[in-house]
Amino acid sequence: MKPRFIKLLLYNVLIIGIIPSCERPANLNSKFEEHKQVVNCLFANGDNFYVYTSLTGTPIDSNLFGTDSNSVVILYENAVFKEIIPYVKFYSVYKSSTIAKAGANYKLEVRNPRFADNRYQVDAVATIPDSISILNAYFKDSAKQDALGNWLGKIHFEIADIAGMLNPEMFIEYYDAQRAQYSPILSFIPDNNWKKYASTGVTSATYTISNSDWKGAAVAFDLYVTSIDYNVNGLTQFRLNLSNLSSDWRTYQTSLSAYIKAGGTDQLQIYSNIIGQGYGIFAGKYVSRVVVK
Amino acid sequence: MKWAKSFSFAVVYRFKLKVLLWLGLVALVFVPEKTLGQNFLISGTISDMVTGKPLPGVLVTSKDVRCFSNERGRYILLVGYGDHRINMLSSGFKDFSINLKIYNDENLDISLFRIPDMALLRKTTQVLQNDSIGASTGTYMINNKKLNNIPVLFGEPDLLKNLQFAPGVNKNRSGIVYASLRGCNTNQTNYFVDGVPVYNIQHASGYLSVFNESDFTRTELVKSGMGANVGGRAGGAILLTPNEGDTKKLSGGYQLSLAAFSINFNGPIGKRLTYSISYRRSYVDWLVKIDNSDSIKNAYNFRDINVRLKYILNKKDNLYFQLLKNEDVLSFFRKKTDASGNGKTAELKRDESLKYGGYTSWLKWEKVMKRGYSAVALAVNNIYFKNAINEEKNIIAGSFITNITKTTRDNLRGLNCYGLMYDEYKAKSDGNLLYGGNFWIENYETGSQKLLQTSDTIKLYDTTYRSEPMIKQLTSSLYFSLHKEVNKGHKSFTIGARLSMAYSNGKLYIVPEPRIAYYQLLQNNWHMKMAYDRTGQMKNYFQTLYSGLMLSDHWFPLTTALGPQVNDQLSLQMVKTLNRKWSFEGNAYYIYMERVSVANPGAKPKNSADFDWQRLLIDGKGKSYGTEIIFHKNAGLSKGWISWCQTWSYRKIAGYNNGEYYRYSLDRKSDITLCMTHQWRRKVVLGTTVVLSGGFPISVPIAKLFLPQGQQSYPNWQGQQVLLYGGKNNSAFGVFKRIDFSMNLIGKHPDGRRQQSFTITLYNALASFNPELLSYNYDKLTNRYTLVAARSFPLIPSIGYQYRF
Repeated sequence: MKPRFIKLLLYNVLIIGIIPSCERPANLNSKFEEHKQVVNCLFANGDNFYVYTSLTGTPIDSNLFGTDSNSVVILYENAVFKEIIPYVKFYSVYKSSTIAKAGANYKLEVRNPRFADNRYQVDAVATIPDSISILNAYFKDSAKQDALGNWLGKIHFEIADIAGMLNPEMFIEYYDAQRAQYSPILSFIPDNNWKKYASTGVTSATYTISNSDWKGAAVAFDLYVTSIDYNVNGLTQFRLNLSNLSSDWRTYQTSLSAYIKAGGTDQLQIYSNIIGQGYGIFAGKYVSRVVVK
Repeated sequence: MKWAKSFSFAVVYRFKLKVLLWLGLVALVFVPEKTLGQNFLISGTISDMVTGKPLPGVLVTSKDVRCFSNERGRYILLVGYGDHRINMLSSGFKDFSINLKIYNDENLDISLFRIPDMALLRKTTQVLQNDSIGASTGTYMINNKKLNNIPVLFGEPDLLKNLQFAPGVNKNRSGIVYASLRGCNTNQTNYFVDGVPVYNIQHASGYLSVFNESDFTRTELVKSGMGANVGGRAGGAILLTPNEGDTKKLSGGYQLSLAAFSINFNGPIGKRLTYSISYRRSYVDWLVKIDNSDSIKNAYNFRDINVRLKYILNKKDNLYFQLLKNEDVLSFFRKKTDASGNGKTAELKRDESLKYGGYTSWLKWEKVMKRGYSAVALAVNNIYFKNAINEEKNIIAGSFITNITKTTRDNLRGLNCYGLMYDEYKAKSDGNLLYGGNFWIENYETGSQKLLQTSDTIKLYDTTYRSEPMIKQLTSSLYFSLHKEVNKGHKSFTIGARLSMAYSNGKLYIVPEPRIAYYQLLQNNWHMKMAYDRTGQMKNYFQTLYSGLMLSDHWFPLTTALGPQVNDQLSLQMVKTLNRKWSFEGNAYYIYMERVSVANPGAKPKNSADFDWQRLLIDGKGKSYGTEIIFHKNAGLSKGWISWCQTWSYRKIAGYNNGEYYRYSLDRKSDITLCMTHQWRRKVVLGTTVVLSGGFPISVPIAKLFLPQGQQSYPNWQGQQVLLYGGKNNSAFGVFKRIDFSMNLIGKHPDGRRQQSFTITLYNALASFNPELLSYNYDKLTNRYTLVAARSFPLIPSIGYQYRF
């Protein structure tokens, strides 16, 4: 056979075969779910409750029900009515006047008056876990030089009874004087894996972590920071946030991270602790904050 | 007792277990020798009279005793003192009989006469293709030459794709070669060529296998009732018998299809050496140039080479050498120029190539002994994925070229294995004994990247990233299998065990694998078989589709998080020869899978310093069960089978489906398959395959919501859209249906050697819409999304030409 003939044949196969391999509306045996209530509220001791409510839509809807301002959001503390949380239009959120306390039990009820059906009434309960504390935290300027000769500052802190904490999380921020607010540097889980992670001497453009070590019941961490990050406008100030997450918070966080990492394509379920016909999360954490300069 | 507990028990008491198994092995080797009695041995090799090639699967009978010749054409029959009539039967060959008076061991090498005229086949005895007398429950033997005539995609005969029609093989996406046996993961299927494992099995993103049809004579599909000599993966096995070289004179042929051309030569060199060499290459890159300009060039091709040598040292010793090498190459070239207007032009050149392939090679010394044979082999296995990028940025001013940067980046992932294998077969008066072992050194390249960047003569980066150093894993296995026949072969049982071991990451993993099979001849010519198999897998697997074009398999060692995969299978088979032409086979099975691994949600492999290959996989549990009913037509002008399989396959993986069992993606319920060829005219053979099965399971979202966004919101929310699923694989596409037709025009020379055939195939002849992918399309008019299904292959007509001499 001549190459020209083969070429013609191949083109014909492409035309006959591949071009009609079009798409069609899917004929599937599944049904879409009706609208359901969505409630999201993550809170910490010493903070207000910020409650976001909305409704689910079908996967083929391009517009979803956004934040719902007509819901009735009721907060209970230790099984006692506390307040009906008002909607704050500026933040597009329900903001409580109640400040969350460590050790207290909270219950949230959400009703959507647009639907008489009680399917749109959901509730959830949460408790702030045990308190935790940061020990012996300090900042030392120009503590050591890196391989290129740049001076690094050192943030030192210790965590007491880390083994007794259910779900610890450390979040470190620096004070950005230009924006007059704290900006994040690093978030991590201070456990045995952290120790292994730190011992490998992970380095990036902004921070270096090393020399973390166990000291009895406490764990000591050294975080080295480059001068570019900490010496903004001559002001050096860091805020260390050590959190103890509730189990619900940690489960939700893990499932949400997996979902985001998977790009929403792996059919992962995001954890929900909403009771009734709804989705979302209502969970608390205990936060201990220390500012070092 | 859970098998998971027994595994940990085995690890703790591994020393005691090893001692016990070794003692058992030693006892089985020596004790049965005393029971040989007054039986004598008739053994030899059966070959094709014309080509001299060994004939596997020939039925050898004498009175109540019978056996099949093995892949080397070798048979061993144990008979009593006295007169015997030895019969040898094989489809396509003239029946052979001889009378012998047996008073000593006899060596009987026989050459069978091939029947040149297909029409005469009706008058010869046909041999049941599936082994109906052994104790194996799920073995399915396929003569590759017979499958030549069934319809094939692109006119390219493919051994593995043909297997997709066999009962118990869960249908993969259209035209994909990976076989999921009885609902197990595709990576759990063993692929053996002449007893040596092969890792890379596919070309062209899985649409063709690396096994060139002309290089293999027989394919054996083992779904259950596996011999203890088969192992390494947790599922069933596909055993391929390579084509031996012609012992009489030069022969071979060539083949042309829409996908590739191939050429084969085989023959003798002197009296002791035979060879078989074949080469195959796709040629679409020579004929069809896509975007082939100075600025854009794309090209793709695949090729494989197969070399097999056999050297006869003496009457009892043979040496075999084999090399199977294959590679897919995909390359892109881009050149972009940008004139700045001041007489200077910026130029960017990027040349990228993707290479995926591997090789398997071995040297085997086989020794024929008085009552059996042994084989020792040295083997090497390799599979690799390489991605090389050369990028150059230049400023051109007149005839001056200033090099801004030149970057070379090489990514590599692969596996190298070096192995030593030993097998020994001993015939006993009432059965046989098989034992052996193997040892492998496996080097895993889990992913590395080399980066070199220069600007003129200044070196900017010269870095080799590697997530971890090359990881070495040692694996080994010991096995024995004792087969005994009782009551003149009306009952038989096989008891065996395999001890698989791996040393990885400073830890020893041991999986004891018992194998038990029982066979009984019932009334009215019914055969009943039962088997229990335990199979272990000492490596993990991940598959990627690079740039949406090149599918590649990656293997990883065992880790603390990902231990050995272990499957337990219980199977039952009933076989009945209905008449001279038809036979019936019914199967039922249950498989429990421990530590079956799947891709970790969101795992995106990349070759860089921060890549952690151990996060690519996550393991869990699985179960699979079902029934298979098959009617075989073994004789006459029409041959083939029709099967009905009712199967269920589930997985239970943490993080998926709220931790509950969900349907496995290759789960196919109610699968009806017809695979037939028909000798329509003397020179015309028609073929058809019909598949009707439940559609692909698929996850369909049932709702969606937006996470909050705002100053006070949780940082990870960011207002993003979340799809809510009722569960993983909560829905399914419609019924999968496909009919293929082929017409083979065969011309034969009277000498029986030369033959040419021209094949016309209609793949998916009715152009059925079989959806495989789901996506969303946005409709501006309705301001809504539409769920859209896409398919891969509609009607594909193709032709093929083959010449053999």
